[in-house]
Amino acid sequence: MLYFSELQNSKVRTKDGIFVGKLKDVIFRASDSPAVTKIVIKTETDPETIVPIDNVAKINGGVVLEKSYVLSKLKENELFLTKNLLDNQIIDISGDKIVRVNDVAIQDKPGYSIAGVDIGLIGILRWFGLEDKINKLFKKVGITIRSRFLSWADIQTLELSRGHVKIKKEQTKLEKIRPEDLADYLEETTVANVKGILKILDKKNAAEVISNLNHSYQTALFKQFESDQAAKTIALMDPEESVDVLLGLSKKKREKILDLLDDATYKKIMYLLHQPDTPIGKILTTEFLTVEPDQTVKEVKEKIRTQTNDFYNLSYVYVVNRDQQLVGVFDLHEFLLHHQDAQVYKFMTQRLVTIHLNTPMTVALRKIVKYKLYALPVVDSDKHILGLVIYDDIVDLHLKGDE
Amino acid sequence: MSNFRSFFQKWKHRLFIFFLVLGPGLITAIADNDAGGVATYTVAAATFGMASQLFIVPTILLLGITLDVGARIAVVTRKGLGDLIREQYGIKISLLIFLLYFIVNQGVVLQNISGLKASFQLFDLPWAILLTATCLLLILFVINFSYARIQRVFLILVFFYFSYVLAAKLTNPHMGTLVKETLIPNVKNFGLNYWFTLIAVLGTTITAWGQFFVNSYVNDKKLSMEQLKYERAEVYFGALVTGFFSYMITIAVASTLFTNHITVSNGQQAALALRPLAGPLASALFASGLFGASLLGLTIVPLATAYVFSELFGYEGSLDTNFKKGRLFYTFFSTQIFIALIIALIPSVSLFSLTLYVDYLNGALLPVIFYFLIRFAEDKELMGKYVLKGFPRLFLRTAAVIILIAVVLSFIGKIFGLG
Repeated sequence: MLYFSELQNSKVRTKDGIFVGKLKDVIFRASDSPAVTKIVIKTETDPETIVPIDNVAKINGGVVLEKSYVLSKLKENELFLTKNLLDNQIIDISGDKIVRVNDVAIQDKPGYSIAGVDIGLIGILRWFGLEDKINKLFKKVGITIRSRFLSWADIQTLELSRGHVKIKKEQTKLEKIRPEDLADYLEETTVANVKGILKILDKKNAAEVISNLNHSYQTALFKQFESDQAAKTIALMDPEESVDVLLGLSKKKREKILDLLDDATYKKIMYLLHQPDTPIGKILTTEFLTVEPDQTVKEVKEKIRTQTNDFYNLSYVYVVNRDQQLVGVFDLHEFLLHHQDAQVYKFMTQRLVTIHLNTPMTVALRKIVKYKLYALPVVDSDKHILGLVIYDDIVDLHLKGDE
Repeated sequence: MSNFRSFFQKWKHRLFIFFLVLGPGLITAIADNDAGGVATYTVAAATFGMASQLFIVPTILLLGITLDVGARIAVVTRKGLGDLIREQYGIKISLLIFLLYFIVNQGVVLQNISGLKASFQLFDLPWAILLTATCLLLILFVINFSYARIQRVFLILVFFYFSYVLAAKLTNPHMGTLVKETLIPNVKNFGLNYWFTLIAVLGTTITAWGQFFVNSYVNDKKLSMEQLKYERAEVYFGALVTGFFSYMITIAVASTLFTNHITVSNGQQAALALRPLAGPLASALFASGLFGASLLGLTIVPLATAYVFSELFGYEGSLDTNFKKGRLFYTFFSTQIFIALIIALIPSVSLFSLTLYVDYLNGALLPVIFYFLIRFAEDKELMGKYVLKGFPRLFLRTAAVIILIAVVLSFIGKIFGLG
């Protein structure tokens, strides 16, 4: 996740390193799924050059454009982040002013979207680059300044296009969220957003969208679905994907859904479910490192130094919240890119690819290949991390199975 | 005495009805003549007599124009100047403006609390206790009362300015001569110092906080578009009344202290010096005028700070909210009064030198605020068909330039100890 305060005025270059200008603004779609559609660049010749997000290769740590980027214009139903959202007044249902939008959080992995708005003091301090210093200062006196975050799901999008930032709940219910809980919270609300999109899409597209979601979103979604809706979706999905989803559900719900499937799909899925498979548990390794979201790069480095010297390999560091649930991950390359005072929650990926102990080996193999990962975390139904399966072991096992 | 009372009652009643319709423009304009303003007029009048009011007509016009634009922006956009600055210029500029604004206003509050202290001292009252009690009552009153009731009290405070009218009347002035002395000054005798004083008199009337306050206060009154015309007239009326009061102060001082060649350096000295010249009544009238002006300033200026804080940072800020909802709004209001009270209670602190720096800062802030005012008033997207164009646009820009020149000149003047 990235904050707009960290993004604004960052230099924009093309892939061959030609300086284009500075990032001025971001354009997003005013809908329940606020996808970032375009960026606005201030160049020497044009103060408002608009480039579609498809032409943007990377935004984190300096914006990089594709070599041949095209220019675009503002479309209907699109809004400027600075003009229509940032610094605007937030009012609650009863029309009371609460606070202003101090900063905007952007989901910074491809499929960029607006995650929510920061309405706390930290949001103001971040503009001056003071959030870490002040926080440290306050921590010495025993006070933690909590970031106050309002997720997109709480904002009335319709009102936004009319120039108001209006929230859906009462002021008193506004939650104060710590960074480590923030990650969790985002996932929940994104599920709500995903449900919103699914309503608009036709069924086939919807199933495709679901297939492309990571496992925790999928499971969360299916938990919300009625059984017949779930069965219809399963029928449209890739059988291997759907098996994994089904395994994430309770046995009762799983059987209910299976009963509702048509014959062909049922047979395929039952075949996969009952394949004499080597259990994941056999190749599970417990050589993994977990850190907390508010730990700094410096602290993580120390942890790596002291706790992983007997590890066979370390490619990823996993992030868990206070309840030890898996909330994020980052690889060592990403980790090395950040300043030593940067906190983990700011650069970790929340799009997790996970498997369960009862996930069929074929599904695990597919996932590891599809997402080009070196290791997959194995979690239980409560999202606690149990261990890892490593690429080498899966491939080994797979080859043996073929013999 | 009963004659006087019935006369007073009758007028009070009439004015009450009158003032129920009036409000923001009048109060803001008159509050511009706060303790600092009264002191400036008094000192200027004691030194240069009626000639110190040479610029009275342009001053009224300038005050009217600038407040008019503020009121217009407020009614059309339904936003305060603070809201607009935050939304158009972002958090960094907002925070900077707020810090400067807070300091300037803190200084103005200090000026007013020392005015209040002086008025208690003039009546030989135990000032320390009364000052503390007044501040506490003021805070309680603003927190608990609604917009309408608070405004009524503001309007009652305006009555204290009439004591200057009575004080002027006591000196049996001859209006024809006075007007002549005002408009055809005997410049030859005065020199450079005179011109700087004129600029100081002009500058004290147009304040940074006044520009913010008129916006916020008009907003808080929730006027409709149909009432805009009326509101504009009211603003000019307010400017006229303000000019009238400052003229009355000048008359009272000019025909006593100036004619007897007694120079003073503040309002308190003036009231004391009046005692042997115009009798104890005139002196008491002057003291009660100072009391009213100080109290009005002491309420309105911290309120102006609180409004701007709420606008810039988006919190509920209205006199109609309860303490729970408008906690930060009322906290900022009380904080400024408390800080001023604590400083005023320390006897060794020289308030006079402190207030000088306040004038500097106010002057530095004014051009910035005019820049914003012009930008917003001429923004088509914000103002729609009410966008400032043609003659009014020229007027405002000219006004801004005049004020800018006045500010720069008075800076130079103060550096060289003139005016």
